[in-house]
Amino acid sequence: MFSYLHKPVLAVLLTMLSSFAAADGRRVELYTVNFPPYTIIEPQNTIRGIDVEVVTAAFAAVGIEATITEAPWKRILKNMEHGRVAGTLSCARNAPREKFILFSEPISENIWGAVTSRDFDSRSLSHLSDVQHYEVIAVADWGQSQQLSQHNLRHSVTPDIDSGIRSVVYRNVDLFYNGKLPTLYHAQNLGLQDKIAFHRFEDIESTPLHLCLSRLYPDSQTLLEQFNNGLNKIKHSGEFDAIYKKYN
Amino acid sequence: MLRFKFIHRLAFKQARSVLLISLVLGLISTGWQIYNDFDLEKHHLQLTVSQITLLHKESAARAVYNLDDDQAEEITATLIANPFIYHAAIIDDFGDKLAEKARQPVAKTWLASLGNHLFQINSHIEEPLRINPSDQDDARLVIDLDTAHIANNYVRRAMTSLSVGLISSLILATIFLLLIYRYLSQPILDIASWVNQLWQSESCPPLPYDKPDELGELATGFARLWEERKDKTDQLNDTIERLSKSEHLSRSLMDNAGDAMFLCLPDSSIVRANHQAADSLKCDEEAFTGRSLAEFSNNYSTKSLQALFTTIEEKQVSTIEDIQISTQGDTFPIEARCIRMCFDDNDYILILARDISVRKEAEKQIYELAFFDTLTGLANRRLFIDRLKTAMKFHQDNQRYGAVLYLDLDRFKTINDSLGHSIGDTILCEVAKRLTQILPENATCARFGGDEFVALLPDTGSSAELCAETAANCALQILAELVIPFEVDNHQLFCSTSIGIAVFPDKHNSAAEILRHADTALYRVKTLGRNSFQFFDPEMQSSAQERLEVEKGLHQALNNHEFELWFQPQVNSADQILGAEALLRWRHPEKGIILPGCFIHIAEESGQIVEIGNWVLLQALQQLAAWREQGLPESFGRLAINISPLQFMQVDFVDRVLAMLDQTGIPGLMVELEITENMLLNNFEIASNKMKLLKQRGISFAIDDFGTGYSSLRYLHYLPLDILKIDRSFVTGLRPSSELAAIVEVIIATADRLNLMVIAEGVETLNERSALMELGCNCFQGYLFSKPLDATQFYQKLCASVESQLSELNNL
Repeated sequence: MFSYLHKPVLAVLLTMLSSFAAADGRRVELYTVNFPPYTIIEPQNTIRGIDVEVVTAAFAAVGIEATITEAPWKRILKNMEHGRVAGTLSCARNAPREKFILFSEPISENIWGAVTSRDFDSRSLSHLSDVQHYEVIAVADWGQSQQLSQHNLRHSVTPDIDSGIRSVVYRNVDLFYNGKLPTLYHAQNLGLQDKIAFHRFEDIESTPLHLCLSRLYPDSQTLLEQFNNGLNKIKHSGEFDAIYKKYN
Repeated sequence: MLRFKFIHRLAFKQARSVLLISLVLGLISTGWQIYNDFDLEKHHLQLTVSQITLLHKESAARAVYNLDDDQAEEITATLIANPFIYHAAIIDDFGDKLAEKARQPVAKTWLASLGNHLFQINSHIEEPLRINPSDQDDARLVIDLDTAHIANNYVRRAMTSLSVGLISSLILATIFLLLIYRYLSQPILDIASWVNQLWQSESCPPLPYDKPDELGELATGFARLWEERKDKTDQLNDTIERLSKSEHLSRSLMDNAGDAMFLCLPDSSIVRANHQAADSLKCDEEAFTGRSLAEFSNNYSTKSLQALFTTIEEKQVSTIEDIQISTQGDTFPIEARCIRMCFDDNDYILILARDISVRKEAEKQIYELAFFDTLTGLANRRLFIDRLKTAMKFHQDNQRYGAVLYLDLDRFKTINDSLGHSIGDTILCEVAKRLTQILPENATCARFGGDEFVALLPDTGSSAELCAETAANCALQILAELVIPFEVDNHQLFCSTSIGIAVFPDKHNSAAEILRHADTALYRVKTLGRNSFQFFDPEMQSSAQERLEVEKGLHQALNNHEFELWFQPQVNSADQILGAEALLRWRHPEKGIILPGCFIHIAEESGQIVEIGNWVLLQALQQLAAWREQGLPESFGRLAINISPLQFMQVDFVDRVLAMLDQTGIPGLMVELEITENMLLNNFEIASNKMKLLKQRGISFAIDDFGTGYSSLRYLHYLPLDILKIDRSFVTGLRPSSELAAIVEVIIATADRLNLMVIAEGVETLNERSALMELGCNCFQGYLFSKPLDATQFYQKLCASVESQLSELNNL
C-alpha cells in the first residue's frame, strides 16, 4: 500500500543516519525535486542535472560525499524548517526562507521570460507588463503565477511545464511565463524545441539558485562554508564550466 | 345474586394474569431483542468506524507525506460527509493541522443521552499515520463520532420494539378477557347461582348448564352428589342425637366415680379429668386440659411417663404407684391403674388413681416392726443380718474388709433389776443414741435384744490390718463414750461396755458365723475383765494393738524429738565418698532404735508421713548446712533425702522445699531427692511438673529401688531424672554371668543410654562390688563401705576418708 513511500522513507531514514556523518565532513544527504535541467530525476531514481553535478563536485572538492534523494518539495522545506534534514538543492532566496535556510553562493540561475511559438512576433515584448495584451499562462502555484498576480496581470494556470509548452505550440495561448532552461529541457523531451522561442523581459531579473542548508541542522554553518569553498575550487578548476557545457 | 365485584371475577383475573404475563414476556423478549440489537449496533458501529479509518488512512498518510493541503481537505470533507462523523482532522508529523472539517452534531435529547450512556463508545478516535518509522511524532487522523446521531437511531428502534410489544400484549389480554368471560366465567356464575338456590330451596332446581363439557359434567355430578348427601345427612342427624345421649351417660359415670380419673394422650397430656381428680388435686376440671400428668407427679417426669405409657397395652391393666402433688403442694401416695384405649384411631391412656395414704402408713408400720427395734429405733437382728450379708458379698467381690462389733453393757442387769425396766430402757435408748453419733454414716447399728448391741462397719479398708485398726479405733471411741455416766431420773449411772470384734470376710464364713465370732470375742473380753475390746483372731488383736501403739507413738515422737537422721555414705570405685543418703531412725524411749520399715508404712497410711517427711527434709538440710559451715571436701557432692509419695504430692511441696533451701542456704545442686517408681506412675503429669520446677534450682532426682516396681521406661525418658538406684535385691549375691547380672546389665545400659548415673544399694561384699564394676556400675552404697552413721560419726568418717585420700596421693 505504501510501497511507493518506502524508498523515500528509507532515504529519509538513511539521511538522518548519514547526516550525523556529515557533521564529521565526510558525507551529506541532500534532497531535491525534479526540476530539469537543474535536477533531473530519471527512472530507477537516478538523479542528475546541472545543480546535482555542481553540488556533488563542490562537496567532493572538499572531501565530502554528497548523496541526493528525491522528496516532495513541501516536506523538504518543512523538514529543513525543523532541522530534520541537512538541505536541498536548489532553491531561490526569499524572505520567508531566510528564517530557516542558509543559502550558499549561487550554483545556477533561472532566467525568467516568455515562451512563445517560434513564429510569434515578440517585438512588442520588452517589459513584463507587456503581457497584458496577450493570452498568458503560468504553472499553477509557482512563483511566476504569483508574480503575474502581484502585477495584476491576467493569466491562466497550467499544471506543469509540458502542458504550458503544448499550450503555446498547439493552442491559442500566446505566452507561457516560465524559466528558460527548464522550458527548453522539457521542449527537447517533447521534441518541440524547434517550435518555441524564449524572450527575456528587461525588468525581470534572473533568479540565482543556491544550495540551501537548514539553519537548525547541526553544523550547517560549517557545512555551508565547506561547500562554498568547494564551489570556488571547481570554478577555478574549470569543472564548473564543464558541467554547464554538458547541459547546454 | 352473586355479591362480588367485577375485578374479583375469574375472567378479569385470568385476563389480568394474561396481560401481566404477556407484558412480562413481551418485556423480556423485547429487552432481549434490544440487547441483541445493542450488541449488533455497537459491533456494526465499531466495524464502520474501523472501515472508514482504514479506507482513508492510506490517502491521509500520502497527503501528510506530501504535506498536500488539498488532498487532506478532500479527505476530511469526505469523512464528515458520513453522518456518524461530525469532526475530522489530519495532523502532520510536525504536529501541525494539515486539514480540519467539522459540522454541527445532532442535538442531544434525553433518549440520545440514555443511548449514549448505554453505548459507552469511544467517540474520539485518533488513528496514527506512520510516515517515518523512526520518527516519534506520528501524524494522526482524528475523527470525532456524532454519538447523539448513533444513539438516536438505536433508541428509536428500541422504542418502536417496545411499543409494538406493549400494544400486542394489551390486545392479547383483551381477547382473552372476552373469551374467558364468555366460555368460562359466565357459565360458572350460572352454576354458582344455581348452587346458592340449592341451599335455599327444598327441591332441586333445573340444571343451569348441561353442555357436554367439563362444566356440564361438574354441574351434573354436583346435582347427583347433592341428592345422595341429603339422604345421608338426615341419617347422620339421627345418629348424632343418639350419641349425644350416650356421651352424657358416660360423662355422668366418670364424674361420679370414687377414684380420680385422667384420660391422657400417649404424650402424657391430660385430655379430660373427673370431679374426683379435681377435688384431690385442688384444680378446676377445665384447667387439667393440655397439662402433663407429670406436673402432678412426684416420681415421674414427662419423659418417664411417656415411656411408661408405651408399655401399657389395650385390655391389659397396668398398676403403678406414685406420689401426687396437688396445686397447693400437698402430696399423697396413689395407686394408679392404667389401660390403653383407642377412639377414632387415636390412642388414649385412662388412669384411675386411688389415694393409698392409709395403706402406706400401715405398710410403713409393718416394715418398722419387721426390721427395727421398737425401743431404740435401731435395726433389729433381721435387718442387721441382711445388711451384713450384702456387705460380705460386696467385699468378696471387691477385696475390701469390714468389721462387726458385738457390744454388751457391763452391769446392765444390775441396773435393770435394781432401778426397774423403765430406767433400763432409758439407758438403752441413750446408749443407742451415743452409738449412732459415734459410728460412721455408712455403719449399721442394731439391738439384738436385752443389752446386746451390734455395729456393722461395712467398709473399713483394703487390708485386714487396716480394717482391724479402724475397728479398734472405733471400739476405743465407743468405750470412751460409754464410760461417761448416764443421767437418768436424777440417777448418775455408770455403765461400761465390752466389745468383741470380728473382721470379715474371713475364709468362707457365713454372716451367722461372723456374728458368732464377734460374740466369742465378746465373751473373751468379759472373761478378761470387761470394759475393753477383743478381736476374734488373736494375731489381729496384737497387730491392731501394735499399730495403734506405733501410731500413737509417732504422734509423740515428733514432739519428744525421738527421731534422728543417720547417714550412709555413697562411694565411687576409688572408695571416695561422693555423697550420703539420709536415713530416718526412731529412738523409742522404751524399745530403743526402731528402723523405718517398722513404722513408715503406718505413718503413710495414717498420713503422719507428711509431717515426718518435712521434718526429715528440714533436718537433713540443716545438718548439711552445719557440715558446710564446718567444711566439706570438694569430692562430697550431694545429700540424698527420701521423699514419700504422699509428701511429694502435697500441693505446697515445691514451695516448702524451696523455702527450706532459702532458709538453710543450701544450693539445690547439693540436694538429691529419692522418689519411688510407683509414685511417678500414678501421678505422672503432676510429678513431672513438680520435678521440673525443682530441677530449675539444681535439685537432682534419683529413682529409689529401681527394678522392683513397674520400671516403666517412659518416665525415664520424659522425666528430669539424674540417678538410678539399683535395688538391693539385685545386688545381694550378685555374680558375673548370673541371671541377676543380666538384669543389672540392662539397667546400667539403659541408664547409660539415658545419661543417668547408677548407684547400687546394699553392697555388702567385695564380690558384689567387683561384679557391679564389671557390669559398669561405679557408685555404691552399703555395709561394705559403711553402715548408716549418726551425723557426728559420718562427718568424722568423711574427714578421715579425705585425709586418707590425701596421704595416698602424697605417697604417690
